[in-house]
Amino acid sequence: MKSQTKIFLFKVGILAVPLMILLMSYVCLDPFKVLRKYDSYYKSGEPARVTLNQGYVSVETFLHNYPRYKYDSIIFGNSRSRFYPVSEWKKYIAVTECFHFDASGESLYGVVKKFEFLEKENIRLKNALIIMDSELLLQAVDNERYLNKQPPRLTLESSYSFHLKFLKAFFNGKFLISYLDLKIRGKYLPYMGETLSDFSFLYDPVINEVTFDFFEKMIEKNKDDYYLSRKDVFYVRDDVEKYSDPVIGEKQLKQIQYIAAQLEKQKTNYRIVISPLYNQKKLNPKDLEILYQIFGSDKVFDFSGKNELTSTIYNYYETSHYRPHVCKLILGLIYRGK
Amino acid sequence: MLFNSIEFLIFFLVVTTLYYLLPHRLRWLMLLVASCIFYMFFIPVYILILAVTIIIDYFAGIWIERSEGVQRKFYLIASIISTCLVLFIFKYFNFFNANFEKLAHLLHWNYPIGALNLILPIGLSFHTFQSLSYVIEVYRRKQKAELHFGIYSLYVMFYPQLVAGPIERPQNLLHQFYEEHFFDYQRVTDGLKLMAWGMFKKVVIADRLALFVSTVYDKPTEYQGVSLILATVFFAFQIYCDFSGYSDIAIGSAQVMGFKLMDNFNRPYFSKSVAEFWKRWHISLSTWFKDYLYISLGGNRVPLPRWYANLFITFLVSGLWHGANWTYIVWGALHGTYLVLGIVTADLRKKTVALVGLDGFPTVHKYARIGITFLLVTFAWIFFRAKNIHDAAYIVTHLFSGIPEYVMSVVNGTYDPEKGKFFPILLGHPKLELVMAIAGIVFMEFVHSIQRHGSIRHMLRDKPGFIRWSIYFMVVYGIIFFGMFGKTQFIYFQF
Repeated sequence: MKSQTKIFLFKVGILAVPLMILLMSYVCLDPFKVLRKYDSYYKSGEPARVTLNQGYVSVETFLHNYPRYKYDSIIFGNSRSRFYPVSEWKKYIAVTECFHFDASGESLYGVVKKFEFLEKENIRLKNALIIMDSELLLQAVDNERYLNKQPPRLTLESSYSFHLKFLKAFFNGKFLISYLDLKIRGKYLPYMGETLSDFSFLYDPVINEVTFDFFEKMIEKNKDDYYLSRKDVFYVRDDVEKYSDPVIGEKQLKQIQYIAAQLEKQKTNYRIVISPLYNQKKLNPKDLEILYQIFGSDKVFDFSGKNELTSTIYNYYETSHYRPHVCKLILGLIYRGK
Repeated sequence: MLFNSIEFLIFFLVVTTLYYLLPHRLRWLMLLVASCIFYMFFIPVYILILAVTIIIDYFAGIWIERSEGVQRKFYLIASIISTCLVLFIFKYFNFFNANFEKLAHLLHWNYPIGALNLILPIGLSFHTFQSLSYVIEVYRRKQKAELHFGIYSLYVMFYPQLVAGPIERPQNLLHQFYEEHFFDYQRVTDGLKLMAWGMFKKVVIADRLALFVSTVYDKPTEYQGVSLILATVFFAFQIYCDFSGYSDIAIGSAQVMGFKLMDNFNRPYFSKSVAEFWKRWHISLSTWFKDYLYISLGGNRVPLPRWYANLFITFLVSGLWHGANWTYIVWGALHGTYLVLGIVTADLRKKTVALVGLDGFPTVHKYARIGITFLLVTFAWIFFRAKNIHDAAYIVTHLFSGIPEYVMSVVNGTYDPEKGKFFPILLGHPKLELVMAIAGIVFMEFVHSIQRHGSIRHMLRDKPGFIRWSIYFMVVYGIIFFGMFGKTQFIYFQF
C-alpha cells in the first residue's frame, strides 16, 4: 500500500509541475503588481501592458507618497475623474497637495471606504472633488471583479480573497498565453489586444494622474481620422432626453450621508460633479433631489443629460470617457460659474 | 462551499488525507464533522434544521422497526409529514400562499396571510428525499433501522452528495460506512479522473454556455428566432454539463475514499424516447419517484386511464420538486404528457415507421428517434429555464420568428453575427467564447460516443503512457486555463 501511495503522490507531483512553474512565474513576474510595492506602478510614456487594479494602485501610491507630500486635496471618482487635471484644479483652490484617489468602475462603497480610510489615518481634507454618475451611485457594495475590487487596506477584509482573484485572472487562458508570449518574445502582437493594452499614457506618480497624450496627439494630428475610425463606437443617441433609473436606495443614502458628514466635519471645500456621459441620460430627478438635500444645491453640479457638453462626440475619447478640455470647462463652471 | 472553488479543493485534500491517516473507527466521526463544516459554509444556523430532521427520522426508523400494524404506519406517516413539512415551509409555502392570495383577490376575499421571509436551506430537497427513502425502506422491511446515530447522521449528511445528490438508498450507502477502505491506487485515480471530468464539464462547458443562455433568458423579449433557439439548445447542454458535472465530482470524491455512489446520468441525450431519457437523466431522482410515488399509486398495474394519470401525476410532482414556480409544474406536466402520448401513439408510430420503410434503415431510424427526443426534451427546457410563464410563452411563440429573413441574409452574405439585424448569435460575447462553447459540446459528445463501448477510465488504462498523460494534462490544464471561475453556483443547488 505504501508503494502505491508513493507512486500516486509521484504522479500527482508530475501533473503539478507545470502548475508550480506557473505559480513561481506569477510570484516572480507579479503581472498585476499586487505582490510587491513599487515606487511607480506605471512607466510614464510607455504602454502599461497589463491592466492594473487602479483602486489598488491609488491606495498604494497614496500611502507611499503621503509621508512626503501630505496630500490635503483629493479627487474621488471612477476612471472619468482621471482626466480632471490637477494643474487646472489648483487654479480654483488654495495651493495644496493634490491627489487622484480614483478607481476603475469606482463604486459609492469604494468612495465611502476611502473616506473611512482618510478618517482612520487622521488626514484632513481641505478640498475635495467628487466625480459621480448613476453607475457610481448605484454600487453600494464592493465589485467582485479583480480589476474593480477594493483593496484590503480600505475594506479591512482578508487579503486572501483579494489576491486569489488576481491569481485566477493570471491563469485565464487568454491572458496567460498573451502575457507569457509577450514576456518571452518581448513583442506586442495584435492578438494580444484582448487582454493586454497597447496604448501609452503619461503618468505622474506623485499626484497619481494619467494623461492620455497618445489619444490627444492622434486627435490633434487628424481629428476626423480618429473619430471616423470609431464611428461604430459612437452609437446614435435618441432625440428624446431620457432619465436614468433612480439608484439611491437605503444603503446608498446612508453612505452618501456619511460622506456628507465627513466633509462637513472637516469643513472641506468641495464640489460634486455629475458627469456629462455620452449616453445623455439625465440623472434621475429623485436622486438629484437627494444629493441637493444632503450636500446643498450650491455644491452639486449636474452635467448629465442633453446639453452642450454631451452633444458633440469630439468631447469624448469613446462613449465612456470625456476629454480633459471638458473637465477644464466643468471646473471653470463649478468654481467660478464660467 | 461550491465544488468549483479553491476552498473545496483544500477541503477535499484535507478530508481525504485525514480519512486515510485516521484509524477506521474514527473515520465516520471525521466525515460527519467534515460534512457539518461543509454544510455550514452556506448558512451555518440551518444545520439545526438538518439536525431536527435527522433526529426525527432516526427515531422514526427505530420505532417503525419495533412496531407493527397501525402503530408502524403511524410512525411512518408522522415521519413523512414532519420531513415534508420542513420542505413545504421553506420551499413551497410562499408559492402556494401567493397563489391563494391571487385567488382570494379574484373572489374579492380578504387574505391575511403574508409571505415568509426564509432562505431555502441548501440541498433541502435532496436530503429530504434521502431521509424519506430511509424510513420507507425500513417500513417496507427492506432495510434494518440504523441504531448508530452518528452513522445515520452521516448517511443523511455525507458531504459529497449532501447538497445535490445522487439521492442514495440506505441499502447502498449505509453499510459502506462500516466497511474499512484502504488506499487503492486504481480506485483513487479513477475517482480523481471522474472529478476532473466533472469539473471540466462544469467550469469549461456549462459556465461558458451560461453566458449565452443568461443573456437571452434574462431578457427574452429583446430576442427572437435563432437567438432563442441557440440559447435554448445551449441551456440543454448547460444543465446537463452543470448537473452531471456536479454528480461526477460527488461520485468521484466519494470513490477516492472508497465509497460507491450510484450513477446519476447515462448519456441522456442519446435516448431514443422520453421514457428512456428518464432512465438516463437524474437517475437517482427518477428511480425515487418511480419506487415511492409511481408504484405506490399503482404504477402500470391499473386500468389504462389510471396508468396514464399515475404517470402524469408523478411527473407533475417531479416538476414541483424542482421548484416552486408554475414553470416547473408546466415542465413536469410536459414530460408527463410526452410519456402518456408515447404510450398512446406507440402502435401508430410503429406502423408509420414500417409504412415509410424506416425500419429498413435501423441506424437512420435510431438517430431520428434520438433527434426527436432531444427536440422534445429541449423544448421542455424552455419552461425549466424561463423566469416565469410569461417569458416561457414569449420564447415558445417567437422561436421561429424571422427565420426566413435570417436564412436569406445568411445566403446573401449580409448577415453580421455581431450585429445581426435579426438574431445576434454572439449575443454581445466574444466570438472565441461561442467557438469554445460549441467545441466543448462537440468534445463532450465525442467522449460520450466512446463511452458507448465502456468506461473511458478503464479504456485509458490500456493506452500508452503518453496518450494517457496527454489527456490528463489536457483536462486538468483545460480546467485551469479555460474554466470560467466566477462565483457560478451549480443549477441544481437552487432545488
